Amino acid sequence: MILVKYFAVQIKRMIKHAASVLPIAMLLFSCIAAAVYFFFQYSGITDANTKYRIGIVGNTDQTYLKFGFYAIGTMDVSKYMVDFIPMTEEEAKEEFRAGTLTAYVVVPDEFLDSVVHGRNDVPITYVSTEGHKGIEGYLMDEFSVVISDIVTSSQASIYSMQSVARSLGKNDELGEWTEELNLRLIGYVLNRTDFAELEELGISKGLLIRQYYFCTMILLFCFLLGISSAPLFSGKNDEFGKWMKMRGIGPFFQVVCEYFAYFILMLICVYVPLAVLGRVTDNMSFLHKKVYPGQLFFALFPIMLMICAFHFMIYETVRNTVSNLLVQFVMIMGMGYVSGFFLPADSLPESISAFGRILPSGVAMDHLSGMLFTETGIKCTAMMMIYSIIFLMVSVMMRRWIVMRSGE
Amino acid sequence: MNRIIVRCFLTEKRLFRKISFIIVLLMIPVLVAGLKNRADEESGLVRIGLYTPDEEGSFSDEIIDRFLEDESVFLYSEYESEEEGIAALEECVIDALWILPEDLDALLLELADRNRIKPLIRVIEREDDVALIFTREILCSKVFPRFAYDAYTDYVSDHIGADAPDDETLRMVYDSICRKGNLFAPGVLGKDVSEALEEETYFTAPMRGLLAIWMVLAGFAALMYYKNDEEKGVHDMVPVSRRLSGAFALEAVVLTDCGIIYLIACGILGILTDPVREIIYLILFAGCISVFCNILGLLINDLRGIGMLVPFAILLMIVLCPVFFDLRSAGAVRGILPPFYYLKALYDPGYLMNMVIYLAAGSFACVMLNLAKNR
Repeated sequence: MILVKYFAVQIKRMIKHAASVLPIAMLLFSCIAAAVYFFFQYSGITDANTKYRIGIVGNTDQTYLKFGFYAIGTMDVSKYMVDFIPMTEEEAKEEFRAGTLTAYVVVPDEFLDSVVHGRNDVPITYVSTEGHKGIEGYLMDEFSVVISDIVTSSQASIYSMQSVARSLGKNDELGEWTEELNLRLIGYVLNRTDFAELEELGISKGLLIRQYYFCTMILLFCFLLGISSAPLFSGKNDEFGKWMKMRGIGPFFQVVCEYFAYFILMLICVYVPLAVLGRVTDNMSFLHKKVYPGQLFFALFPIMLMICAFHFMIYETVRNTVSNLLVQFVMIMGMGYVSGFFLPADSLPESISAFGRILPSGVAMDHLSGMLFTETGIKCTAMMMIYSIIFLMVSVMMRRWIVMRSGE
Repeated sequence: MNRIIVRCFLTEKRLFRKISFIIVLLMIPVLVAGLKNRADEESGLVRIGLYTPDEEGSFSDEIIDRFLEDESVFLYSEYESEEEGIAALEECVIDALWILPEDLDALLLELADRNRIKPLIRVIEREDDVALIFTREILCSKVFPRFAYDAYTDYVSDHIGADAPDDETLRMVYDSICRKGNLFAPGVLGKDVSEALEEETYFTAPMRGLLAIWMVLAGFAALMYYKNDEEKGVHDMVPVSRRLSGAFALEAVVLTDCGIIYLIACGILGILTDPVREIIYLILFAGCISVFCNILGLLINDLRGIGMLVPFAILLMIVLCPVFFDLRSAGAVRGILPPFYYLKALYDPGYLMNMVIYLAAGSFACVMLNLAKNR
């Protein structure tokens, strides 16, 4: 009976907190959703129609360069992706810092001379990042090799033809032939992507990028709610556990009652914003697959059981405010990082990716994506139950130790 | 002054009596070392499967070998059959499958002869995106040199006819002229620290940003610790007007401990630039964090309110500061976040002044808010 009373008290305590925690959860969810939307909107990593503005610094009046940029801007397949804007270096720096330019290139005066004479020893400098290289910096490195390969092989083709023609005394035809071969090569360059024939399998297998990041967004939200819940756990009195034990509720039942009350509150905090989002967006139709409220509830239930147990364990084991916040951050970010919350899990080194998959965050990710999108069943549920039990056992052991210590 | 030093010492003693604090500090280098240790393993932003029915030593096979050998942020793997590759694509083991045809060199020569381009390579994907469009450019750039060579030989034989040199001579001339190399050099705004970043991979690149956010979290934790003490009445003996210095002292102690760990972690990752410069920037960063946290502490009296603010701050910093991507179009919002200035200033000294201004303006705001609050 006293157990039921204790549980009822815990529920009442959570209801009292719900008035402040639920709006915060709604707000946090809105912020995460806005952040994800903002990120995809402005980084352009998934939008194939993103147009990049590239600043051109230096003397581009030379005929070949002028034609080159004109061709890329008007005839090349990249004309839908890139805009070239001539400007001074100061303007470029200013616009780049302000974020209105994606990158800028500085073309040295000697560049064309070096290419025309086949030396290729005066490079164009491209600035795509402000120091911090980031992923876009690595992509730009790759892109520069692509352009260089195309330019140098075209160049070699023309100069070889000229060399052969000269050696055979065909100097009179040289100008005409050079122009002809040049135009032929330019035609090839402009249509280079026609070498490949694209076939899309469609969306039936695997996760779409937006579905993937939808799942990571939900999980990040669930994990971060633990930090927001700090007030629910603060101000705990160690003597209270001992006192409850004397009243007949041992550490195990104390933890179980408090945990389930916390779980119910957190489940509501996670489910309500998502249900609202589903209502507003016609059952998440923006994900190219409808997600129904019931489906969402059953997907979230075991995940929240595990994540709440995880939060509970952290609050139970690390009672110092400073350490608690830092531990939560390190664990959430660390687990999230290796489980692919930020960079897709498949792009991580294999052993890290495999390790990330067996962590609570990775299991939750597999479960959520499986339940919502790929219909891979509930194979991860057992794993999450095991994690929940382990986390709760650690919490009980800690509570028992605290009760024992306060009894000394 | 002596009193502040004593207070700092006592706070340090109090923090280090908590085993959890020591474990938290030690966790960072251990985790970072673990990640660094595994960072050199094979990985790629996009995984591409390659298959050719052509025999070993053929041009298609040569292209595949080149993909497998080249260092890249994309991961390439070869498949024995088309079915195996498609199965891997369906199982999400790869993001795209490129099927190179038999006799690719002959087909290219034929196209060069007919002066047109037609699809030769099958590219199978689950869903097209910017990264995959980009990888197709790489694919074409690997095929293009052969095509350019064929265009040259074809043109020579067409226009010079019987007098044209044999294939071997044509190849010799081409090889003697062709100067492969990168026509582009990466540049950065401000100071070039690329040498220090040689050990960085795309996997470890965001680590500095995440560690910087961890430092801000340490600032938040110190603030919450102070507020907790305040609620318990620990500072009741200290006049209200002097409490701000106490809050700053606590921030200084916590941030010093975390700063040392931060530098060790950066050292393990191999992303430390000049140590003296790093220390100076870190001190400024710690100052900005203290100011940022204390302003929030003065605006929000409630410990609960600060706790609830933390996830928002984490989120804002991850998205708006240059951690994974540099969203330069994010505008002025990120100007309130200390890691933004710090991460930028490390590579572009132009931001150093912004940091100093942030610190000065923040300190002034702190003092004013404290005065207003006491009044």
